[in-house]
Amino acid sequence: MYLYSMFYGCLIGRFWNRAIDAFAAANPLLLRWLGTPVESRARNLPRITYFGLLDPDEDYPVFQHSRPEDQMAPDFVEIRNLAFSYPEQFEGIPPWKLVIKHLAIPSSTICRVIGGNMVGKTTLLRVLAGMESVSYSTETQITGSLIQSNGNRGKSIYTLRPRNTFFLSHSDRMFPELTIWENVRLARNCGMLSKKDAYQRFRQYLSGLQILRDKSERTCLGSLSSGGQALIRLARAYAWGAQLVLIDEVTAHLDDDSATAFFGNLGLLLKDGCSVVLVSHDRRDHDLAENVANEGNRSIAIAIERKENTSCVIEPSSS
Amino acid sequence: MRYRAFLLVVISAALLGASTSSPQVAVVVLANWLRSALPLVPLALAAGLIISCGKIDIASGAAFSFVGMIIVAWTKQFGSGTSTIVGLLIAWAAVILFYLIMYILVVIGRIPALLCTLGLALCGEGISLLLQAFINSGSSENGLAGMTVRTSDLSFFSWKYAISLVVIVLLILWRYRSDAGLDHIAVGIDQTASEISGVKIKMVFLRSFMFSGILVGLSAVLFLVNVQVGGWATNMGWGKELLAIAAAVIGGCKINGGRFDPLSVAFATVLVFGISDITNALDIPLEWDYLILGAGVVAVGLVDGLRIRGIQA
Repeated sequence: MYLYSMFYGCLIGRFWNRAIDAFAAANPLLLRWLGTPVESRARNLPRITYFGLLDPDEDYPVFQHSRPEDQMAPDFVEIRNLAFSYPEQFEGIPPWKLVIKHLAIPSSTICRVIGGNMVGKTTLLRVLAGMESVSYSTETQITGSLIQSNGNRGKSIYTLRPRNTFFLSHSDRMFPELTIWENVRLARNCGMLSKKDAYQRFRQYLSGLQILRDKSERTCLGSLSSGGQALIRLARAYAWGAQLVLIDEVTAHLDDDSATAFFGNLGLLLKDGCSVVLVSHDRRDHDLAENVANEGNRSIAIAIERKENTSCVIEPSSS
Repeated sequence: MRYRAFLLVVISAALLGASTSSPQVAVVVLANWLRSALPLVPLALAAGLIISCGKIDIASGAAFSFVGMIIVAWTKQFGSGTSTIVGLLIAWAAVILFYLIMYILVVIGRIPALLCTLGLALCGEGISLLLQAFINSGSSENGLAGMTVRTSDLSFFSWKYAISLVVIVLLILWRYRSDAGLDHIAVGIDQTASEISGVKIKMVFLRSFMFSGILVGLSAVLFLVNVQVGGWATNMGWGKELLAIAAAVIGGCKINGGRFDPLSVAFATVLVFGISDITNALDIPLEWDYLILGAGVVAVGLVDGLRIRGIQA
């Protein structure tokens, strides 16, 4: 019975693939929607979904650490040959693609992402945070100590959600109606510590902050200033023992004192072996990040460059 | 939330005091009031659960009806006693399946909740009508007479006070003492922020829909045991979903999600479903019931809106 099912399954699958190929060859738009099965099979490549495909003819710039190999820290996340584009496509606008030929995030490192508007910095962070579904080909390799399983369990589309990773975004309002401890508690699924340990770390973190020292844990988040809210965003990562923190423009609208306090506390996390990926257009934030890195941590710059409709992660430099 | 619960108790006590002339009469009116309203507390809590996670459910009334119809039809077909309990289990499983389908369509299929539950409400009403046709086809009697079960078969559910209390206490513990309760409210406040926080959104919705199914089933069974004299009608729950939503809103649930206090919803349910008893005792014509209730819901919406704007200012 099982063999019969397999036989008929293969037969139906074969006919289905042929039908798809025939339709796709006849209609380029459908071809793009279906994910170029004809082209990919012709080149003996795996079929990639509509999310994105590394073009084998294209010579993409490659990410390389410029530090010597013996100084390299173990990588938390390492990505090879990953392409991403948003599934929503608009008529008349060619689809944009973010290509990561090779990207590695070592431990205890500040990775400063550099690039202008519209190059895909936030998208890179969203991909790293597991907020976007990515396509996975046989060439794609996602490894590292924070990656929960190296395999994609047979799926062509899946989300990357590294362990102990916190995404701090300027677009995240969090929950102004809830208390600051409730806001921190909600992020428990991102961390690995027990609730008791997290609570102790949270109390310790609060007591070390001048701006929040007189606030109780039952204070509503909405009653805090933007600086206070940014520090509570970081409190989530600190309390739950983050190993990777992705920061997207969180400090851009803070005054100098608040930004200094934010990066000072970020330094505490880095001392624990945490890594940070920082996106900011503010030169001050990059300087503050460099200052934190000079206190015994590493710093690398990751540039993202856009050419027409493809953005590439390129040319890192270390300091 | 505590102020709202307190306010609802004060309003209820004031209305009770105004509608009765002596303490003895007040006790009788209160007993009637609770008898008619308590079985519907789980229905309002189910509505509150769905509303507080940011969705809406207008199919609960239809689900309520077909739960009773399944039990009655099963009893009619296979006799009283153990068969009634089997019928109860099948009905409960059916309503949970109904809510699972609702979850799949609304959350995974991304059909707007109002549209989806409207369609499912019509389907639920259709199931009740088919069951009635099935019951009528097997007997010479026509109409709704005799569509009931023996109270002794479901005697456990005649403890409606204890059951309602247990349900409310469990929901209060879940809401205020568990991480799952916090996740539920967070998803209602802001789904994107919840996703960034790592909240498992689909699990939150699944839990809400499943709990709602269980509560709607419980409400229908409590009501079935309660309405022995009149028997169960096909349209017993039709329209009750709107009253349940009204009770949830008066009980503090924000209509676009993010707030849920089981105790306030329970008090509001007693007030909303006991409105006819109050107007009756106050010699107000029955026609005024819905007008008073509607004005009450609008007033609550207005006060909540002003309060939120005040906080924002």
